[in-house]
Amino acid sequence: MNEQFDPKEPVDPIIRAQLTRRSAGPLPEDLELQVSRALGTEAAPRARFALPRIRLTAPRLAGASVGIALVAILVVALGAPALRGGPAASTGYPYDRALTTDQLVSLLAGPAPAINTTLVVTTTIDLRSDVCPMNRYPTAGVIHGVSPQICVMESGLPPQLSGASGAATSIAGTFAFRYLGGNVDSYLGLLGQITPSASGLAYSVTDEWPTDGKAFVVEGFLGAYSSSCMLSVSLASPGDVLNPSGDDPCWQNWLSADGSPAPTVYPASDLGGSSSGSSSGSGGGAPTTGVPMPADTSPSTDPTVVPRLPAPASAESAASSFDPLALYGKARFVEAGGMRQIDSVTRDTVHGTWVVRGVTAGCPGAAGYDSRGCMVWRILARVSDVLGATPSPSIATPSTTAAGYSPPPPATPAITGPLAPALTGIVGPGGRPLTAEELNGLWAADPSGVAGRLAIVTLNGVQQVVRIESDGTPSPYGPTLANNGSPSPLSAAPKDVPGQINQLVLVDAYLDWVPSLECDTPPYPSDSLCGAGALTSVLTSAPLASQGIGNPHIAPFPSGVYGFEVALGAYQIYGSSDPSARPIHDLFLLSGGVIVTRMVPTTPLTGSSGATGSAPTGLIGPNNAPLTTSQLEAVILTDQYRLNGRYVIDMRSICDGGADCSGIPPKAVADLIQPDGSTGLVGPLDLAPDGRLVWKVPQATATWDKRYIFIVDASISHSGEATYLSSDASAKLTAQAGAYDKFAPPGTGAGASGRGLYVVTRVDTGKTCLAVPTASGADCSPQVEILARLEVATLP
Amino acid sequence: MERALVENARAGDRAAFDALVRSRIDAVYRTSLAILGNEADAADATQETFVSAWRHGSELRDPDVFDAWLGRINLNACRAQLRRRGRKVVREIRLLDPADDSEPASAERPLADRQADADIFDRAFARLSVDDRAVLVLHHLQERPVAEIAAVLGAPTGTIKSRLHRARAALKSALAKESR
Repeated sequence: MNEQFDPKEPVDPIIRAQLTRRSAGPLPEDLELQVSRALGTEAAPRARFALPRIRLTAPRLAGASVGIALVAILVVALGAPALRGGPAASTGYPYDRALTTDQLVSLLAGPAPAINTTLVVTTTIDLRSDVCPMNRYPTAGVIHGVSPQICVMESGLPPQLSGASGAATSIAGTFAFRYLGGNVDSYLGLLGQITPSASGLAYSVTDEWPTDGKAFVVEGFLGAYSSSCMLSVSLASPGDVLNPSGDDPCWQNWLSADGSPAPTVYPASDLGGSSSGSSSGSGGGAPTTGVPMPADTSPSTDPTVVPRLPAPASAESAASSFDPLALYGKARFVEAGGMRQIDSVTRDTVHGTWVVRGVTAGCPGAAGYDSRGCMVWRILARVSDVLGATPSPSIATPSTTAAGYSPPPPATPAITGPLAPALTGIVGPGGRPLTAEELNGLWAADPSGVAGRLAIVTLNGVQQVVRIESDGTPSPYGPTLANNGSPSPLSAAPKDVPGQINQLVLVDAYLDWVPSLECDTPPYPSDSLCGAGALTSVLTSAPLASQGIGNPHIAPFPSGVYGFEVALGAYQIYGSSDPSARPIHDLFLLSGGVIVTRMVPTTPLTGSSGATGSAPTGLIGPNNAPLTTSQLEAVILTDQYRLNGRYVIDMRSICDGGADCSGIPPKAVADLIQPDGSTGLVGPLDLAPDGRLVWKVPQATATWDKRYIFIVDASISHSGEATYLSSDASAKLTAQAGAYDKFAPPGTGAGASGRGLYVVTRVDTGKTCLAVPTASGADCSPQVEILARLEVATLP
Repeated sequence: MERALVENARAGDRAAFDALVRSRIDAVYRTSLAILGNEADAADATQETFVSAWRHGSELRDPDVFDAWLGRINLNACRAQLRRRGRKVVREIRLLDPADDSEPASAERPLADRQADADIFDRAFARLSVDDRAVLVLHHLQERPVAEIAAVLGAPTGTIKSRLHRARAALKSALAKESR
């Protein structure tokens, strides 16, 4: 023991023993490798340690320009014609021209575009601030000479209209807008005035982009790779739809001219000559740093491996001149996190036309508090293919032309009406993939109801996500589909689901909201939710009993409940415009923690009995005994697919991952059947004081503090949304709202009670009430979440 | 030798930094695990610690206090992990190995009882602030000198002594609540 120890506070052997236990276990075998990889993706450490940080100064820009010029010279020497490939040949909107005012008017006169649709329009804006009041944005003006008026709102940051100050009353140019909604009048949010390219409207990735802070349009392929970050949940806020953030934790985004893989800039020590020293830390594993610049550009199948490409012209240039503005090969690094969330752009490499602007952000490697800024490219929006998607592409002559523009009508009301929900996707009965025949049948029955939707379908024996085109053709959509398309409970893979890399996953989850300090994405929040108490959308594994729970500033999620924030506005977009409709329990298609869409089964989910509500029943052995290992295996073999996602009560030994379980006596546990037929541990079951597996409610409440997961023999009843479990009149457990509809046995009528075995888990740490407690607190009941109603397994 | 490694790493020598990682990763991981009680979070915190140390190496002025400096970064990484965990609470069930002899006084006690004790301790420990957890880990597990704890936590030694007392009391109170 060290002599400096304070004798007044000796080491406590019990605390020491418990802390030793907590910190015991082997070091994760790949941790050192993961750290090494993370360090390897840290850009240019020499610049951090030895060179001044990059600043947005004229010399730096000049240097960057020189760098770009040098790269350009090299590129020209190596074969410039290859640079401007297919994308450069694109014509039409929005590649070489913008919409006209007439086209905009015609477009808005038809079926309303989706909220946040991005349009590029050449038009004139009358600068006015006395019209079009809106909750969230100041008015920039109105589109000149049209009626009903088209209002132009601006985010206020940064200034977007050149020449808009002073005595100017109007400004003509090409602008990028997001459609914010509207009724009689339409509301456009100004993303920026567009600087056109020399060859038309859109720049190529390999063109020299404007560095004056003005917005411009780029045609190219947006890709992303995981930047070896181990954080499974770190979804950043998308920011404002007119001024999105660039944050995309754990991901690096880039735009390329031809869809080629990601560029990588190497730390100085990774390049030439230092490999011997830096590659020795992996304990025999493959070196991840210090290797020469590889020539292999094939994408790795390991999602944690960052593709490494020969981007910089030389090792020295990579080490000393990493510049977030520079062109590397045919690609540039961009910030795109906020846009991805707002425009639901998956992590696949996707072609599109993007509104981009050079913005000031943190310098590479700079501390968070460093106020000095560096310029980076940020994608503000994906331009919507409104002409291609419009059923009738011909643009009609607007009913009102620019001529005879009269003073605007009285101020228009703010947008407060209900929002159009996002288009839902389609899955088969019970959440399983559709068959090709079923998809054809849906199309035949209601083509317009199916067109444009995503669907999970089994085609040629492969489960995949497809988009139903306007002619009924299913087109492959997005990356790989996990779990063979079968829905997973969100709690089943808590560390993996939101962080799936380049993968779509269908989850059974609750879409909810919690109070937030931030206002939701406009125009979604109603007055009652924005300002005094804004909301943040969350996806959870179980319904939250209180609106405060889940907000880290108020109360974290209860033990056993897994949840994470999803994009602002997700509750309204994929759930309901009614805040009181929370939570929304359904299937959701996720990609990288982002909701791609809400999926709706073509028929309701059914339990094994075929007669229950939406929740499948769990299984227990005969005589209320846990299934033995052999019994469970036999049951799973009988019907693996039907058991997917069901709870089972069985006996097995459990121990820490990787440890030898031999010698540890088996105990009763709750397991969840996985899509592949394996079992995932939910937790060991607490035994009743008499040693039996099944509790009565009074027993449960009497020893409440030590219970986590247990089985209770009780009757289920409800009063409105409130659900109760009781074994007699002396006590009752309060279950999650709406549980009655999901778990009541078949044939249980309204108001009646149904007895059964219920697997429940405690969802808080003490006695609470659903609503405001009574003065005495006598009516308060413990809260549980019903996980499943059990049925006796039919043994083969 | 050690000082030279730190100086070289601080100047951007990746090989030197890798050597420091190899020699410290186990200690950093165990400290994180003791504070966070979750292997995945501890791994994340460990990675974040070294990445942050590499990123901010130039800010270390005195190579001789590298370990205290790294410890403070580690503590901040654990704090960040707990903030994130507030949004994604996952209860990890860790069971005792019957052969585990880390609890000398309980050799004759049934495994189930020891498991219950461990569960209660973990829940009680989870009630403590990060600073309380850290001071308990640094003192009772790592037996670090008060002066070093003070350097890691960035507080005077007198404050550390009072924090130790307060953290111990907080743990006792939490254990009482969880044992009811």
